Amino acid sequence: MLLALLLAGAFAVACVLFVARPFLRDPLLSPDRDRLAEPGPLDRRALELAEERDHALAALKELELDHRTGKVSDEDYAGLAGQLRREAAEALGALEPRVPGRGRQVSVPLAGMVELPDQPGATGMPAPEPSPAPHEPPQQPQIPEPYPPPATPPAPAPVPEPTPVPHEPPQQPQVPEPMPGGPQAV
Amino acid sequence: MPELGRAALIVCLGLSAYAVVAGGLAAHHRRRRLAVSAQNALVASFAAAAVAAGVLVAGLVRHDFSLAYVADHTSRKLPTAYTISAFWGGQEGSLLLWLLVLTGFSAAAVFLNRRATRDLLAWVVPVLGTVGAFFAFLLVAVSSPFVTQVAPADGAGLNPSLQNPYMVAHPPLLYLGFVGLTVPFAFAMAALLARRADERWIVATRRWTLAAWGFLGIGQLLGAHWAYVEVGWGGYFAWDPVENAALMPWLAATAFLHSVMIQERKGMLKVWNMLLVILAFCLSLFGTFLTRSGVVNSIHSFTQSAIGPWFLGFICAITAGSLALLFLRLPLLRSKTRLESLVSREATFLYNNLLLVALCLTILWGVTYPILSEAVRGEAVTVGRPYYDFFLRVFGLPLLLLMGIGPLVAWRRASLRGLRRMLALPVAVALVVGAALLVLGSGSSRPGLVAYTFSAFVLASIGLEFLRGARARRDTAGESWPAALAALVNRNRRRYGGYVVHASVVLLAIGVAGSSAYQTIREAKLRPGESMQAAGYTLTYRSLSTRPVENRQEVRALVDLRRGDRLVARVEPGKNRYFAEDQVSNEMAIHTSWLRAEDVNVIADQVNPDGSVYFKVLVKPLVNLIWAAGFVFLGGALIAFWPDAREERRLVARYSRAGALPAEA
Repeated sequence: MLLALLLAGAFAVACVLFVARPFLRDPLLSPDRDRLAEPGPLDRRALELAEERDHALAALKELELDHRTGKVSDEDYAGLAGQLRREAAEALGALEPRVPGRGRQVSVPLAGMVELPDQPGATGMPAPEPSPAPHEPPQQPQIPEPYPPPATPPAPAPVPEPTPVPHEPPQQPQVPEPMPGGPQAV
Repeated sequence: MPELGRAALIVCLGLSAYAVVAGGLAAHHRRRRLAVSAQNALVASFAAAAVAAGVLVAGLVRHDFSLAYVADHTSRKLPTAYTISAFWGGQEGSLLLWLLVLTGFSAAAVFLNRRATRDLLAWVVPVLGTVGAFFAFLLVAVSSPFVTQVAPADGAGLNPSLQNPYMVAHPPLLYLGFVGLTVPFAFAMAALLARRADERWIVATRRWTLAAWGFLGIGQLLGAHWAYVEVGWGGYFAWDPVENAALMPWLAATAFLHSVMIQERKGMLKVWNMLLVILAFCLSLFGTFLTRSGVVNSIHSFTQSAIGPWFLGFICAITAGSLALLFLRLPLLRSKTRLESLVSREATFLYNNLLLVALCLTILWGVTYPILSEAVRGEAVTVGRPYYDFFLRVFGLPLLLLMGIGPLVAWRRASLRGLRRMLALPVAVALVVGAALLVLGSGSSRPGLVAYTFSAFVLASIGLEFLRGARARRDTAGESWPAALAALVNRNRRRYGGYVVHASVVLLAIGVAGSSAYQTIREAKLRPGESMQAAGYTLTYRSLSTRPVENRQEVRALVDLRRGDRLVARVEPGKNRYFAEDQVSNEMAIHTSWLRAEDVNVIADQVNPDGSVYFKVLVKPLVNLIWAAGFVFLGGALIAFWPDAREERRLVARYSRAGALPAEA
């Protein structure tokens, strides 16, 4: 009985110390440094846009797979892919902060944000065959075609690394193609 | 040392309550040290629950009958494995297991997200703490496993039907499932409390949901197999309220796993997904309430207790609170996109959701109606098997069909011409199979024939999906078939893992249809030397024997099972009489014919003093496909669960570079 109570007491003290640890370690922390970090309105908007962009890219990925497995005809594919690319581009365009006075967008490392669905075979499919599928001309900002002109197949596409911030930003944000088809893939 | 156990539970209650209050204040006032302190309290509550559990296990193993719980659920002759499994054989131990798993999951959720989703985690802690504090309170004040007494010479033993290997694994797996659903609920509520409409709560809890759903699925199949081999009535699922208690949250979680994919792809169904998470969690609480309150008369509700009103109050408070919070946050959850076509993959997911939820709510009504009827009219009206079987057909068969149609429909919108082309082959396969079965005599059961035909359609559809995907890879990359298939699955784990799970559901449907719609049941009273016929088998009762074994006396009838002139097997159905428990159990004999894909179950329903035995024989075609489905289900769930480094990198990129705090996948 006594041993049990001693053990229980020791355990309770250990728990109290563990719970009080953040205050024991930094007893005199200023209120500013004690504040929990949280994303601000701009961060939240950026997150929302990143999700919209990813929705469009995920949809492109699914569309690609559906097309290659015969669920979507060439005509439907072209129409839907164009629409999805526009949606992704709009999200990307909004994610790119504009520089006052320069009239053009500043590039951020977007490649790293969007490269993953677009690796060769990210959909489970390898680089696609050349396709005669018609497609709409890309809108601003530029979105590459889902089926780029074929490289010498079956050369694997290079894996785009997250692009560091370039010194000379490109005019338009570039979204890697949903299924890079060869060496010329973005 | 019951004092140590009691003290550990009080400490656990204090820590959980602190996590609620301090965590809530920290999240509201954005105080970092207080938030970390609340997280530490949640982690420490796991240690406290572990100490309490350790004390109970020690009491069980040492046969410390001064603990009333140990004396009520074990005896000296009870085998050690069942002595330990008595931990969850009674109400108090079950609640302690709930608390142990919950605090363990809470500590894991805090640890895994301690650097990620920090702003959400601040709100997750008080939600998890609230659930933990409730269970700790029950164990401290209402139903303690550490009540002491003057130790009797021996214990009362464990209910004989629980003395089965399956019961060692079945309850913990179900509890892992029930409790696992707390984590997605806590993150969903945290997202609402923190006013975050983004998908981080989904990303952070994706695997928690999948794991909880997997545990529930496997736990139910183990329970069904336990009922099949142990309970001795020849069936595996009786729509018992406690079986339904596990099925309902599983159905809600299944609906959620499907609809959440729509939110992840199109940003739609945000409110619906929140509702499903709330529904799944509340149903898991309701399941525990049904199991442990004794409110429903069931073989699982071994005792009536005082926890019922507390549980009901907590469920009502949680349901009302979470729905009110959801209502307040509705403006945040508006979707910007809409369903583009009623013929699209999204639409089939939506139909699937409606059917799953309808089935779930129908079962809920069947479970609660007798309780409500008793409360209002003073008489309990039993909702029997026909009710459930009817709605299983009404909602289950279309669900089965949708599993075949869904994969063939394109996202966004599908053209009818394309859909016809995709459906042609599976429909042809289904029609051929249906016609063949009709010719072979399967038309005796119309629902069975429909289930088989739909199953053929779904299997053909799934097979085609794998074939088309692998062929596309093979054509373009020049890979071998196995390599193409492996790469296809590896790079689309959720999709193809899901298809494997669908295949397991088809196996389950075939097994259920075969073993119920096409089973043969024969009954006869036989004296030694007499025979009876069942589905082409001849059963001859030879003799009766009695033998003492460990903690019981076994009575066995020796029965020869013949097909034509050939002796197929010699089986021994009978009864066990347990000394300490003073109970008798039915011990069914099962002969499995792999060649004919059927089981022959022989039950000695009544053993008479004159040596005659009243036998019941059930011949169940394809029943073993149900258990095979369990392995396929596990395989599919593991494929879908397995981490995908590519996906995780993408999510880290999304959240870190977009300026938000990163989320763990």
